[in-house]
Amino acid sequence: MPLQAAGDAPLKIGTPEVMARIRQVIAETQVPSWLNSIPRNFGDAGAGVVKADEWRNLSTIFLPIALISMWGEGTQHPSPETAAVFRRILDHTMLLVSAVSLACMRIMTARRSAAYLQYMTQYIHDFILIHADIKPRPNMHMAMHIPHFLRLFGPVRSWWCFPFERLIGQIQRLLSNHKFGMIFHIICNVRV
Amino acid sequence: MGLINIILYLAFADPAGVIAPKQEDVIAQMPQSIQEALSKFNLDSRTTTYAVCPACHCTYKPRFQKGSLTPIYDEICRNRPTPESGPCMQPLLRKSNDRTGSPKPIKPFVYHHFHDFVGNLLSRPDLEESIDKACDDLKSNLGKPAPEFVNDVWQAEFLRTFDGPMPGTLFVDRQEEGRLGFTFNVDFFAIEGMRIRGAKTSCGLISMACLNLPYDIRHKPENMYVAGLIPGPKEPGLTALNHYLKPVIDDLVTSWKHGIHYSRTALHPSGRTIRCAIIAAVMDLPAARKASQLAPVTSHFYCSVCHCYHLDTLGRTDHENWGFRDSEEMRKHAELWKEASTLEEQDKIFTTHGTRWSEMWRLPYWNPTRQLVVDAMHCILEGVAHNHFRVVLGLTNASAASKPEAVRAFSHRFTHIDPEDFPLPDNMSVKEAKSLSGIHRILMAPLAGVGDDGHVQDEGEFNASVADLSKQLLNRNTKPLQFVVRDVNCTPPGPGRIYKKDWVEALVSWVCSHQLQRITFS
Repeated sequence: MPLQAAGDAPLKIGTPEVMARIRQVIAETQVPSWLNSIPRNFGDAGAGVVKADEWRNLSTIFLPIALISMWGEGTQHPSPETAAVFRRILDHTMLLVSAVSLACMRIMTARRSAAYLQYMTQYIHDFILIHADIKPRPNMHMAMHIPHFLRLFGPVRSWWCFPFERLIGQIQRLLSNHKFGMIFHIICNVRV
Repeated sequence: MGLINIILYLAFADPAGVIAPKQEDVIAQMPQSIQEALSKFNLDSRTTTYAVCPACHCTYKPRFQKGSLTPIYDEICRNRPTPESGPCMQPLLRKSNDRTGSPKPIKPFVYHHFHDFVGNLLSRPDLEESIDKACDDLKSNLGKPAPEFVNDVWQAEFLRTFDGPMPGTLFVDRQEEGRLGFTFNVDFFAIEGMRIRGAKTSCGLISMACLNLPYDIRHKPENMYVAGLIPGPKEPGLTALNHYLKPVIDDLVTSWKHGIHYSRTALHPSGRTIRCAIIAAVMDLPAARKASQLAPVTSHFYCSVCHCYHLDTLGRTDHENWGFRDSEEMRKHAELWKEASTLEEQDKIFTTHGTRWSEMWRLPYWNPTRQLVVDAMHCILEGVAHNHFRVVLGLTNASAASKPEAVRAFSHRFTHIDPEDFPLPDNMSVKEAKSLSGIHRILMAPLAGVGDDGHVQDEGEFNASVADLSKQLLNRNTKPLQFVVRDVNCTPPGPGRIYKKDWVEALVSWVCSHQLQRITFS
């Protein structure tokens, strides 16, 4: 059953209350000091673009805590139907959360990669049913191929873009005189 | 550096402040900057500055006359960008205003020598030891079954089965040679930072990381190789990236086929031969497709790994039935594309097979279905997770504060664009991308005067609401309207110029047909 049946007013998922709860969770959760911080004004245009590492922490730590407390068992909703709908969205989101945490593991096993594939398959399968008005993205298909590469190359940390992006970050931070074309000579001389 | 000079001066000077000429000479020879110091000890990396054609991106290597250090470049570009076109004929050089007065390339591309970088790694005893240890550890484990817990690339399947340059032997079976595996990355970034309207300028970076090094030092900036910065301000289009990859691929091909002999390394005073290979190409999806010259991810050939074809099949989950693409077939099509004598022929190969010629094919071992990895950081974290939380669940303040949507007459799978995802399709501005959801809302609003039975009950009311719909759409910008028209597959007919009015008309008739059609079916 699609969430937004034709003719009905569509359901609003991200309400101001949900956003307030997420921000409260980000502000109040105690995390280890090595965990990079998340902007407390998450969702604000002023918080800037959410980076890949922030997405990893958000989707494996803060968002599950916030969303389960809003939509999970024992939460209050106007009607049992809405409660069921939100529960369904939550269960679907948790499939993605599980897949993300499995994919980012530092040690890979055949069972972990099989579990990832199972969660991701279920996620895409339900996505089409639940969010009927949103087209699936090419990234969803490519995410189905991650287990193939997990098998070939092991844990993602040796073959993801983080180190290369960090290198780019260093080059972007080099001081320049904003004259285009000069930077190539500068970098040629500085061993990055 | 200046401080050292002062200390030396104070140490050398006699009470009257006079220094002997010999000691003055010592002070004069002190390097004044870190670059100068590196160059004095011969520690700076060796580079070649290529001249790049400003129009077609073809790269030209300088020549040197015997005994001279002044590079000599070709003056005009003689590259033929397409098989049928004539030489490009763009001037490559401009007058320089420095002392030598020799002409300089208009667009320089500085290439750092790959062999020189490998030589740098091998000159450190600790690194040379760990480079060989990685290969030897894997080789000694080959007899045992594959480990259940995989910590690193060296325990996973690819390197356990990757054939080396000698037929019948594995890559890690190094004998007396050294074998180095690399991850390869090309990425484009905004050098002048992001503007609110998107990236103003785009440069590229070609870089590599050596997998032989232990994980904790593998990605330290001093251990990573930068082949060069692809000059901006615009990203090279279509096959132009090949010109920038050529120098590094040239070196990698030699390294694989013949091996590079270093006359002395840290642990081998009498020299040794080294062979290097790209183990995995790690890039985000747009750069991956550009470097491998496979069809972009927004085309019907959206997958570089399997046979899944056509954008309508994006939601498929029957992964048991997906077959891998055949790398030999892909190589064949890429070569056919390269040898095609007309543009038409090339386009035909591209539309039927989704491949163009890429420099990567010159590597004898290149197999995109195995080595062109799907980057987990971009695909899962910045792709699926970002899309799920921001677009699908709408977890942004702007979306949370917006009014609940009005009643819809029907629902449709529109393509949703996140206005913060650069680059935006069709060169839309952020404002235009934001207006897309508004247009979707207008389109899905029910038309007045249509009865539950699906017939127009009140002609006047119906016409008025259709007129109102076109008026609302005409107030919107053309680019997002065009985007929606293409998205719902109803391009307005007719040759000649298509005006905004026509795009709006196409959308209105699409809405009418949808709202009436839906009712006839129910």
